[in-house]
This record gives sequence, structure tokens and C-alpha cells, in this order.
Amino acid sequence: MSLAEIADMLLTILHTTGFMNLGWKMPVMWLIGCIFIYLAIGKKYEPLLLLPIGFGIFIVNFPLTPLMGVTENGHRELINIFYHYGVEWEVIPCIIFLGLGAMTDLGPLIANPKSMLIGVGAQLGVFVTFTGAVLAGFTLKEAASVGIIGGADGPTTIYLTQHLAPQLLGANALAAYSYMAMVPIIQPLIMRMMTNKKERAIRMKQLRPVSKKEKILFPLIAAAIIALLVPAVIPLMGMFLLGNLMRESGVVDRLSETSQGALMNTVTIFLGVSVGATMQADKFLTWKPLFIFGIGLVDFAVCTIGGILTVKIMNIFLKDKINPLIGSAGVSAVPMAARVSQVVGQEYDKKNYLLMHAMGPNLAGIIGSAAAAGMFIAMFS
Amino acid sequence: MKKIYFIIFVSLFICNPLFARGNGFPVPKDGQSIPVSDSDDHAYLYTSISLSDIEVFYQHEFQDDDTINWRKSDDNGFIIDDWGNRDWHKITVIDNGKDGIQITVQPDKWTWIIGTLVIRFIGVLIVLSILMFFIYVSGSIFKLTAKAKKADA
Repeated sequence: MSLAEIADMLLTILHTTGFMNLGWKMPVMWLIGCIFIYLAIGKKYEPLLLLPIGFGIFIVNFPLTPLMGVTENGHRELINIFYHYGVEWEVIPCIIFLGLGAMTDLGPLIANPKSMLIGVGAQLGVFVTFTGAVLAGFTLKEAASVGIIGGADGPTTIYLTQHLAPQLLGANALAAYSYMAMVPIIQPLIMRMMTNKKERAIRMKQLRPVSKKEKILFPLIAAAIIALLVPAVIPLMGMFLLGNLMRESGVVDRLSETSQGALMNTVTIFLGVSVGATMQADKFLTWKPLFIFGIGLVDFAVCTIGGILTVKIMNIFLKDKINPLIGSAGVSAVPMAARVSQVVGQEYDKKNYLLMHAMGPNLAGIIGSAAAAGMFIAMFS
Repeated sequence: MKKIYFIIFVSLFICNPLFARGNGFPVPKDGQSIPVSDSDDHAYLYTSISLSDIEVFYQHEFQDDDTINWRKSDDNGFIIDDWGNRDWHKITVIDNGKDGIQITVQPDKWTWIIGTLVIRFIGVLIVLSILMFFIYVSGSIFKLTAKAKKADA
């Protein structure tokens, strides 16, 4: 073998490696991926999702990696399979909602139905952001998918974005989960700005106990109402309510435990990696994701303000006043937003226990953001 | 609160240049402009082109555009909705028989943008309010039943 042949062979081998196909955008994406991995590990911000998302961003932005493409035989590559069957088919967000339903005690919402209205108020930002995104040049479908970020509900954001603007899936999901993780940082500031000391110290009446029969009946009533009024979100809410019915029935503990444990964990891995893998440098490094991150923050802030303002308006008419700090929990981020209400409330009155009161709006926020998503889907049907 | 109002005001002021939009509606040439009851709408009448010609014109105009939605109209014609960021949101094409084909373009206006959002926000309010009502009703029934059981005991 001549020297020229050896050099040629080495060159051929070199071309099959990633080195010859690297571009400047790729290291930028590695950095972005590593930032999210750091936030997950170092800061413990939504680690269950940000870790696989971060790794998905990192790994998919190496050249020639057979992960998100299609093979010569027309078969999907590994992460593309997860993405296609899990996200594109809208299966994973619904399974996550099944697990969420199985995890959630809807008692605080049933005990205090007024919380529903706070959940509505906290959707204000969704609609405000929709307008902002349209004005900035997003299509109506894209604007709707960006708007839902403020609802602080990851699966709903993914479900709606996949439905209306799949090209924004990565940016929207990342913005939603990032802001959900930053609830303890963003919300207290707004809560203090929007309330005075007297309001923060309001003590609320203890919630009435909710019987098991009521808890069993609720998923059925809610499923019927949602199916009739916003059928577009019944795949999502139906699974949530099924999960909750399994939990409250007490006769299918194994199913309930699987839904909220092994099943949910399994799909979370696939969801995180798939969402991260949609963020390929060429598609992601444009002005739109940056705008989404910017407006997502405004969206989240307006939703928080909407929840607090709703409580303030309700207090004008109510004899038993509601502490406006629980209004911020109307964004769904369960149970983080409710915990923030409790923590901020106790800064002003150590014996004021707001957690269970805040869980009501928090749960209403899940239903509210799903309803808003349903409204958007219906708008474009 | 004053801070919040100030931030909202400044944001609106800064965003204002983004609100500016161009003009120009996709309609075939040689149509006769006709007055409509809503002064913001733009209506055109065509007597020399058939409905199918106009359909072909729009199919060509919006080829491979996924921000466009086609619907059949109840009045022998079709409706085109824009889900993109054009200056209009709806074009209605109706065959008026002898009178010709009428195309009505409904441009985006603030009343429409705000209106459509308010309606959807109210929609969310209605959904959750109905749910709230039913929780109240079922809660009351359960409370009464519990009371009755207690009284019996």
C-alpha cells in the first residue's frame, strides 16, 4: 500500500467522523445544553425534565449522529422514534397527565370551588401574550402555542404546541419548564408588588373535609363538562381525571401507583430527550426562541398578576376574605406555586398556613390552562 | 400597583411600532368595489369570472400555505381563514347568481383581535364556572345527606 493510498484512506475515515462537519452553531447548542444540565444538577431546577432535555440538546447537535433523522431504508432513528410515537402522536403529554391525576388530591379544590375563578384569572397572560406574539410577527397558531407557556403547565404546552406549531416545540417546552422551575424566584417579587402587608396577613377559614364519594364523583362530573364544552382537550383532561379516579376509588392501587410512578418516569425520559433533540442548531438559533423566552417571562408574570387581581376583585364581594397570595398559585405549576404562597405568607404571619388553600387555585390552574388550550385548538379547527 | 401600571404603559408604548401593518388584499383584478354595511370590510363584485375561476385563483395564491384554512360557505361559496400574520383574517367568496361573485375581505382590526381573545377568555371562565357550579351543587347534596344521616343517628 502506497503512502498516497494510506493518506486517502485516513482522509476517508476522517470524513466519517464528526470533525469535518462541525459548524459554529453546534458548540453554541452544546453550551445551551450544558446550561440546562447545570440548572438540573447544580440548581435542582425541574431536574426530571431539564436533565434529559439538556442532554437531548447536547447530543443531537453533533454532526452525523443518527438520532433524529431517517435511515437510508426509511426507518426513523432512535430519538426520532421516541419523538414520533410519543410527542408527534401526542401520547406522552396525555400519559403524564394520567400520572399527574393519580398523584393529585383534588380535595382542596372540591372544598373551595371558588378557587376555580382564580384559575381563570391566572390564564390572563395566556391571552395577553397571544396578542403580543401576533404583533411580533408570529402566526396565529404559533402565537397561541407561545401564549400557553404562562399557564406554567408543561404537558399542556407540549400538547398544544405539537398540535399547532410543532416547529416551536423545543423552545416552548424549554421556556415552560424553565419558568416553572423558577416559580420561587419570579413569583414572590410580583406577589409583594401586588399586595400590602394587611392583605398578606389574611387568615382563611379551614377547608371543610371532603368525603371519598365526592372525590370519586368529581372526575366524572368534570370529565362530562369538559367533554361537552371543550372536547379538544379531553385526551389530556380525560387522562388526568382517569388517573384521579383510579387514585380516589381505592380499588386499583396497583394501577394508580404504576401511573404516578414507573409509567410516568418512563415517559418523562422519552419526553425530555425528544424535546431536547428537536432543538437542532439550524432550527433553534433564530430570533424566535429568544423572543419566546422573553415573552414567556412576561406571560408568566401577567398570569401571576391575573391570579392575584382576581382574588382582590373577589374580596370586594366576599365576606370571608381570601388571602391574595394564593392567587399566584392559579398558574398550574403544581405544587411549587402553592408552596410559594405558603412561604411568602409565613414571612408575614408564621402561623398562617396557606398551602391547602393555595392548592385549590393551583389545581384550578391545571384545568384552566387545559381549557385555554382547548379554546385555541377549537379556534383553529 | 403603580409600578405595575407604569410597566404595562411603557411596554405598550415600546411595542407600539410593532402594531403597524401594511395593506393589500389578495383579490382578482378587475373587480368592482362595492359598499358594505361594515365600513371596515372590503367587498368586490365580479360578473365576468366564475366561482371556479376564483377558487383556482386563491388555490394558486395560497399554494402550500399551512396558515390558510378553507371552509365551505352555506351560501354557495367558500371561506378562507388566515392563521398567519396577514392583514386580514377572513375572505368570503359567495356566488350571488346573476349578480355575480362577491368577495368580502375582513381586515384585522383591533376590535376583532381583542374581541376574539375576550370571547375565548370568557370561554375559559364559563367552563370553570360551570364546573364550579356543579361542585357547589354536589357538595351541597353531600352535606345535606351527611346532615340527614347524623340526624337519623
